[in-house]
Amino acid sequence: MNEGECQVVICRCEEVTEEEIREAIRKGARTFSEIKKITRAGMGICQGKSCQRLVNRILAEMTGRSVEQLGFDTPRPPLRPIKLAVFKGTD
Amino acid sequence: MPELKTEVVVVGGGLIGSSIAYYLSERGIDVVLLEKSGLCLETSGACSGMCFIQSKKPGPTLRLALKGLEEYDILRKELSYPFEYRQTGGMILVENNSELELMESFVRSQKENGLDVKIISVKEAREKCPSLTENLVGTTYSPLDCQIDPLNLNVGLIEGVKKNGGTILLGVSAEKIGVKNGEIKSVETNEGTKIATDFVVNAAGVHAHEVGAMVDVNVPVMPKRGQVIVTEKLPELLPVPMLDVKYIMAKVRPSARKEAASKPEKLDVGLAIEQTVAGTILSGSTRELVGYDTGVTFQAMTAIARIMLRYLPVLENFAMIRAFSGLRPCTPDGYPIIGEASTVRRFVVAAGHEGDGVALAPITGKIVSEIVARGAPPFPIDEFSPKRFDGKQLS
Repeated sequence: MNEGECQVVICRCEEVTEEEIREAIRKGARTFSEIKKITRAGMGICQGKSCQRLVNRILAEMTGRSVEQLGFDTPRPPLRPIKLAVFKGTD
Repeated sequence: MPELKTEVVVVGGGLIGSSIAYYLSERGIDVVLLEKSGLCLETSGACSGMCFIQSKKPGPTLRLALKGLEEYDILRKELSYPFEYRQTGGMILVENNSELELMESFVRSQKENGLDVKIISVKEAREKCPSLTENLVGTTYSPLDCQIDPLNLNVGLIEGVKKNGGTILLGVSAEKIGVKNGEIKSVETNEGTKIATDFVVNAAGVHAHEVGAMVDVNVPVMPKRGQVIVTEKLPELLPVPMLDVKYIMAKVRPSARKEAASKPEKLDVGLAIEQTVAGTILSGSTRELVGYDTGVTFQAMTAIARIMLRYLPVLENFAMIRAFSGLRPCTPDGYPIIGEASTVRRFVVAAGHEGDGVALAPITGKIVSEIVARGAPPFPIDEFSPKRFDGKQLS
């Protein structure tokens, strides 16, 4: 693994690099959710839409499982960002 | 059957368990931590970072939280893993005169217990936080309240355990606890490993009851769900984390606890809002008795969003990006359970911290490490003893 690869940004929203992802896995993370908690990858505005697949490929490689065997982060609303004003109404 | 030998098995790798394991390992005590799930995947991975001293019930819990603050001051210098500790102070927002009366009485009790807290005017509150609505009659303020990143703290404590030579087993649970002549002997894991041990610490949070049952010790901890909204990253709008009087009353008023039990569909919404170092705003909260369901509901998101906008109208043009929920580990009387069991020597319980886990994690770690190392806590903790639940039903 050369230095150039490790500086690749995997989570664009939170600017988390491949090396940080690998470091989280070395700390014991075996799921995307754990990697998210350690690195913030997947906490940004796209909520993992861009990076979850990429993180899972690294996870599969480092933990000897197939991508199919890995879970997904808990799907949560909202599907995309919504202004808080949307919730206004009469109490 | 593979065999291990250690001095202490800590069951549970959240903030409480990892803190206990860290303090033990710092003293050179051999420890094996069992976490059935993963890093930050349960209660401690689903909370906010508020470390409010003001929100602790005046009495033993508040006094413990004040000691806890001193412990945080030591821990943040000693733990090499940073966890965004900030002592920002905190405010409880007061909307009307009947709430003001309640808070004046609450503040008096808090001061009697040694908390530096006062009631300030809306004008002073808005100087600290200009985004705050004018539609208040005042707020409380204590300079002592803090914020942390609980995820970094949890990971940092676990990394600290490993650095000190302790063993962390993720995805491993305790299935059986061996007791002989009324004292702890061993733990058997779900992987079939038998661990010979002197002590077992039950730091299993919302599953502490099951672990207690393995040794016939009643540990009545029940899950109480809290839902949280997360916003996009924002410029600094909340220099100070905030609660409101509804939040405090839902938490500490004895009648509120009984009402919650009889009306499980009640959300019991109160304001609990903070801005993280990253810039996102986390806002809750609900108090729901829904078993182990960690779903989120549109009803709760609406209630939380409306309460946010009532106090901070400027937020209406900003976006919510996620909702999540966590399970607080609650006891029937609202006090955590900390101490050695009466019927099983060297079985130490450290669970049931409800919404006070962040504030009380380091001091709980210190207390349990002293119980193990020296046979007694560093100061009396009788009010938290597991003995108070001996012979009672899980209620």
